[in-house]
Amino acid sequence: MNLTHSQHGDAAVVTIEENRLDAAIAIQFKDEFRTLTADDGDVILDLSTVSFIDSSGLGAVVAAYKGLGQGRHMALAGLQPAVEKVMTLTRMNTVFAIYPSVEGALAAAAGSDAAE
Amino acid sequence: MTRSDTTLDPTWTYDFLSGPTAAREVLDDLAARSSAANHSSGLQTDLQIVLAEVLNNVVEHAYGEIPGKPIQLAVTDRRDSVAVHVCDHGVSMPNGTLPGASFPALPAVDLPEGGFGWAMVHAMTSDLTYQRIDGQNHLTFCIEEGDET
Repeated sequence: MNLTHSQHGDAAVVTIEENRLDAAIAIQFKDEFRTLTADDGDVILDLSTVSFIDSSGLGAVVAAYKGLGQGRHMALAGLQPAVEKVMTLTRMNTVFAIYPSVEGALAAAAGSDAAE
Repeated sequence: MTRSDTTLDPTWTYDFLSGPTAAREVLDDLAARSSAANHSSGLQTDLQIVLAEVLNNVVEHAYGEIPGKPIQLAVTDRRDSVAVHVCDHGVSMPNGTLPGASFPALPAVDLPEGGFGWAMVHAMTSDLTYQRIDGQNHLTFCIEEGDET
């Protein structure tokens, strides 16, 4: 399980450096995500390397989001077709803001900060 | 499209054993074959998503995470669709029937972390059947080109 973290102002970008986010690494993902996002602030989950997600991986993304606690947002960026399909089918695209790229998600985050 | 008589002449068959990465290896091999057979990317994606759910269910529930138990997979290529038959010797589905087709609601508070797998399988397949025969689970279904995409 390779997860990297970078801070961009108030927003953190967590990147999954894995081809598959599935049952085999779901629990590890949840644990490492929690460690990396212990500080406050919104999170952008960069999924651009992930070509495949199953329902266990999806559950882990939901658990990761819930673990952030109230008032912290999580956006998803860089969805490949199979990942986008799962998000659409399960209607998770109505829960998470989804951006084509991390750059787009950061621009949106910066924009919403400026508006506040 | 008629019934899924996959036992007659499957195009690709896999006999493998349950384990934490059992599904991954089979899915990787099947992805390469599906691609070489010129299936559309949509059909390949659906096949991967559905089989990941189905095979994980066998490993985690039918066999209760016990490794080394036999799983048989037969896939019949019909160009614009594939018919699939999965067989295992594990415990029966709860109540002897398939879990439901409805997706969990997504309330703002306490989002569900599970309950998506079988709903996705129902949504992406047709002719989905489950039978318990002589201590074995038999699951059959078709995935068609352009289903719900």
